[in-house]
Amino acid sequence: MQTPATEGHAVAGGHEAHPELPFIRKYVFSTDHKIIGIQYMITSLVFLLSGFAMMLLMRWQLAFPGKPIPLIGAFLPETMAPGGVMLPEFYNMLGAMHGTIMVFLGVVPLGVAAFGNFVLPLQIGAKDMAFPFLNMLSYWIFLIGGTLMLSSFLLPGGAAQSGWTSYSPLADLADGILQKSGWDAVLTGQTMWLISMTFIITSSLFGAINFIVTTMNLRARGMTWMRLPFFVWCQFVTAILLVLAFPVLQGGAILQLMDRLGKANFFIPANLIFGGAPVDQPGGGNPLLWQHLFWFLAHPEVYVLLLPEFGIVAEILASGTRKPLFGYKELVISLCAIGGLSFIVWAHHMFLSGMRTDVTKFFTVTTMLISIPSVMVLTCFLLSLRNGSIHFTTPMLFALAFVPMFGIGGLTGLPLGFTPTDIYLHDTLYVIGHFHYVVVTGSLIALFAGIYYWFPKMFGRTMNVFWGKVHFWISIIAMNGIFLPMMVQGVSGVLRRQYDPSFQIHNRPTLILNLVMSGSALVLALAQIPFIVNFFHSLFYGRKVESNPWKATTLDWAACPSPPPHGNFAEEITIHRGPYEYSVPGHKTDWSPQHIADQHLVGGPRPQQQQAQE
Amino acid sequence: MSAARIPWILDPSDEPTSTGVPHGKLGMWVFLASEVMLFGSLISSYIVLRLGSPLFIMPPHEMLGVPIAFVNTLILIISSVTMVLALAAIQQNKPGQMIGYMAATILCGLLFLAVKAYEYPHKWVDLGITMSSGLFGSFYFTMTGLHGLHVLGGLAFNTYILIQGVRGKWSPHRCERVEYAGIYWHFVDLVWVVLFPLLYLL
Amino acid sequence: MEQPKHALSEVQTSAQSHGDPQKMVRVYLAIFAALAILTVLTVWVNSLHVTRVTAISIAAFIALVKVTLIAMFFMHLKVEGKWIYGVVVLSLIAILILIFLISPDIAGILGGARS
Repeated sequence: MQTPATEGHAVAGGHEAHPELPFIRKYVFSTDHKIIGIQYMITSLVFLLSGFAMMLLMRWQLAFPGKPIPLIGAFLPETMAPGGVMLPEFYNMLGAMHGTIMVFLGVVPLGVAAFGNFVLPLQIGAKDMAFPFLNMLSYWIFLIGGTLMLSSFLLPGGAAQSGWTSYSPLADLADGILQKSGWDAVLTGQTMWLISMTFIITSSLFGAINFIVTTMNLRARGMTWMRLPFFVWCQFVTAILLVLAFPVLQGGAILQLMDRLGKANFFIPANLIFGGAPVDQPGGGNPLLWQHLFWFLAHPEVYVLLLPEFGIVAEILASGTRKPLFGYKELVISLCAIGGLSFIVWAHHMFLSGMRTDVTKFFTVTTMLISIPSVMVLTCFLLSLRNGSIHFTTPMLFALAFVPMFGIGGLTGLPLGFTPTDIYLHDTLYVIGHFHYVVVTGSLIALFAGIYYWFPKMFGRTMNVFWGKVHFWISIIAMNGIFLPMMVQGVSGVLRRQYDPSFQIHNRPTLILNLVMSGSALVLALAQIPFIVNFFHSLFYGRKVESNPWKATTLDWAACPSPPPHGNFAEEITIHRGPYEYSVPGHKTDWSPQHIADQHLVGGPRPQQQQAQE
Repeated sequence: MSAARIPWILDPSDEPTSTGVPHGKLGMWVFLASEVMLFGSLISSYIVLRLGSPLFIMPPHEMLGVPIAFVNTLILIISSVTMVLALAAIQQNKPGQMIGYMAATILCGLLFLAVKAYEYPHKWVDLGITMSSGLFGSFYFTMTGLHGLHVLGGLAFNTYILIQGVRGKWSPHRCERVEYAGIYWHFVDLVWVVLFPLLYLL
Repeated sequence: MEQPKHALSEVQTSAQSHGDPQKMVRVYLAIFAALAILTVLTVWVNSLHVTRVTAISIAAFIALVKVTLIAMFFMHLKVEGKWIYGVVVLSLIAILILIFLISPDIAGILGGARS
């Protein structure tokens, strides 16, 4: 099919070529959305790896409580693991930081910032984001925030220990903050968590503003809202969630910071006993207020973890089945419904907090409601496969696995949203199993799919197919090996965030499963080695590809080279059709790019003639 | 007369947009939506704790310093008027007038902060209202402090507008950044219009 | 087929979209007068002896009027199109959701059954 003519140094987009930028402006402090997207991708993969390493340490402790950690145990400081045996405080740090890093520094930057930045302008036919400088700023603020967050392990007293949820009053008073002042108070793990979050939130907000304005304003001629690829819709709704929800957590974080540094009492109740001793504070605050402010963000945040991945899967399913997505309009409506409803379900995370029953009733109803559009999306994905011509490429394997895995994750959430069952399941490993099913076998699988899918566009080379499939099969089996037993343990009543589960008698029957889970975690770790090697090896030695190896119809594939030059498109794009026009009767090929006019596509044997020839 | 513009090279601000709204204006409004949520979360927290916490003790009315806050409110409103008059001035191709109004806006902003700089020590030294003295004090300093930081940010943006105005950058065809600075500045005023009765009167 | 709006030949100066600047100056000064008067009013009403609910209602109402005036005229919301209105409305809905849904639990008001 026709591809834009120019490549090489001729600059696309019809604007004047400017002088060659120095290396540092081209690859380090770049304002090009493609470079920024790749920067985010590499950085968030590194953060993902660090969060994964923390989880491996935790899994060792859970499988072999009190035993010295092999290999690295000897190198850990006395404050964390004396004699290689993990301290409970260190376990808490690992738990809190694993959650925080995976959510805010791993999955979200990968799904939203990396793929969103790289793909979104390409898919709408734009030459870059609306605010390229702001985009660059977003990345560097994110990097600073992430570095601060990781470096909190080095502070006296170590990193934050109050979970990724940073609940008051624990988080308000952690690290003995009441006795500290000045820099001593600032340089504590929990305070640093709050400061790092400020950077991360700022970066996300700037990014979200960029995405919203770009999607609204920079669509090519003819790219109406209902001709946008579903991936763009997902990023757009995600950005709206970020803009409206994140500042509320920032507000709460400011209040918690004032509780810590200013000895305020926003979330500290009266007559509090902390660590066995009465707290010398007048109190008057309400710890539940923190929970409300936190979850007002954190529930839309889990959709931020999910929606871009819906978009990734949609793109891959469409091009991998050679047929249009089933129910594009229904998908868009469901997406908007999920986005809207996500603002009124948050307190299902707080059913056991002591809230009033009228409040819990309301949130149970809304939580049940939000499952409907989610099922709608999954059903549309499933029906997209029907009568498709499925090509089992590496990204397609991951995308196909997403559907049932996310189905399990989503369905296991229903007993949690339904108060009577949540009373039993809250704070057990069932919750951990549920959200890891959604985020690991769901979102992370989709993110891997995205990496394999868009790697050729980013770098002009494909990743090795064999090792990609090895990565897939071992990962998916290992992931289930970790989280399925976890669900069993959860239903048996094993609680979360416990340093030594053998403590509680009712845990003992299912303790053996810890060996399975930790073993699977190790296998999962090993399975990432082919991925990492494949990624870097293919960067330099991968098979070179033409601009559209997947023969996809969307602009990111069909209208620009791999990799796209600065400015993306050689000439002004006009859109003539929807995003998933595959196998259109009467067209020459089974893919009809969005930007190619009808007269160039029609022709060749008509369907009746083809049948006659059979 | 502004410098001759070669018509086929578009300044980014003149690019066609699918919605018809320029990037900067749309971006500024989306940013303000996030600010509504930020200040809104603090204001909501104040309201619910004020109504729901038995230990929320309001200082006596005389201690709140209404007269000085009233004057400060007027100062900020005046700065809002001078800001929009600055925009009107440059739209009428009167750069000199615009510079004057921008200077007045910045001056009023600095005056607002100066009054705050008097109010804060007066509260915590003379009246014993501090960040840790009780919920009112905590909220007062957090909310007006955050607002003050936003005033500072606005002053920085306005100073940039002023300096560029002095260098002759703005014209009736090139004044959208003046407008965006104005939108932000008016929002800062708007937040104060809500904070004033909330923290001083009710 | 959607044409991009705001093409170069149709670039309006912001003056043209906001209305004639000279006339607008008078409007701005009128709004300023209104805002100043409403501020005085807020303080004066506060000194009257009314019930808590009345005091809060009046203060909230006056604040709402002032906010609307600033937004409509100084921020030119009055002449903006549906997209900007959409942004504003979305944020207002979101903040109302926050405050109304946390009120029963934290403030003890606006709810149904307690316990």
